[in-house]
Amino acid sequence: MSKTEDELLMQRLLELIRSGLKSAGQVLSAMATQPISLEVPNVQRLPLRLVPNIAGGPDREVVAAYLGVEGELVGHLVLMFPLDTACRLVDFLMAQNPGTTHSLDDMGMSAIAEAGNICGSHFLNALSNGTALKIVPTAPSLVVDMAGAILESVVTHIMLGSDEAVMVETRFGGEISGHFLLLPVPDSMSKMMAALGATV
Amino acid sequence: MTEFKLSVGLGEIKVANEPNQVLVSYGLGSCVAVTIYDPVARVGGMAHVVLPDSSLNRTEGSPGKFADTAVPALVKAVLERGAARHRLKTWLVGGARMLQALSPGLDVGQRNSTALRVNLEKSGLPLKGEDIGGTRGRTVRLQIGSGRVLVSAVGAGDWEI
Repeated sequence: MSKTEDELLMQRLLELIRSGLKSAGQVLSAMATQPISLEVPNVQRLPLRLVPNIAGGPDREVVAAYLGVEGELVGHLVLMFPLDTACRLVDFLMAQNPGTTHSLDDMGMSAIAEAGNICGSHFLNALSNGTALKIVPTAPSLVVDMAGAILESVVTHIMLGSDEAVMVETRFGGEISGHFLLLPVPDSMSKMMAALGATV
Repeated sequence: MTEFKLSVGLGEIKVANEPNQVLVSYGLGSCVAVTIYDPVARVGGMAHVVLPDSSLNRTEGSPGKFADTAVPALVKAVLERGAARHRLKTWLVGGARMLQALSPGLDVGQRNSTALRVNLEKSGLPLKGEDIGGTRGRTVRLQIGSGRVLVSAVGAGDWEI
């Protein structure tokens, strides 16, 4: 694949993800009773061995919402925030003054899980619409631990035949920064790229 | 003494023989770090093993990626730096199950741990300590000068194994 062709596909993917997260932002705004915009400043393909290093390093404590991806595209989707950022997101989602939340209780965890669910399903919806592939997310599960430990456990499942993931940086309300990782199984990555190419 | 940390990434093998060097595998989830050390020569090595068996492989992989290829490669690497085979001791850390939702029934962490134990035994290497399984992530460090192997987890500090 030529570089320009690859860039074109990533551009197309970025547009799809932006539109998906824009609609996710509308749903979150209704939930939070304040406007929340989701920006996507960056999307890139990343070698799998580098995946555990995103989000501030492998031993950084993070909150991760995990969704399985099933259907015609198979893989994993992870939305991840450093712990302090996750607390700010909870304040944001629950329309509290910034700094109100210092640790994640059940309510906070549930708010993050819901945000992960909404963002994940809209993200996959947009991808599905843009590629004409049927894609279904599984229910989200939430885990708080070291970023590297969570990510390498996901990467391991696709590492047998794959080398790459798609990493999406996202910002909630222009400041709360998180990372989405889409990790398609090897055959699904090429399928997704081919489907994107067909719609350019 | 200033510590020099050498990070051992996914599938990598690293060896050190300077007293101020520390080998570290950060954020182990289902992966298992196998640590090896000769307390007389003060030579140590670490492999960050991702999968149990190299026969599963479909892509180019470094030997450190698989349990069966990592053990002989790690031994060879420390022997080349002056370690003696009969003095080698080993430790296993990691092999957790971070996400129950991830492929139920397929516990890669446990398979990695089992495969490494089998391969260490096959190579006649004594297992001095281990901290494996469970559901939390771990970081492991080997201090070359002292030969101490330290494990840490979120909210739990350090402990020696």
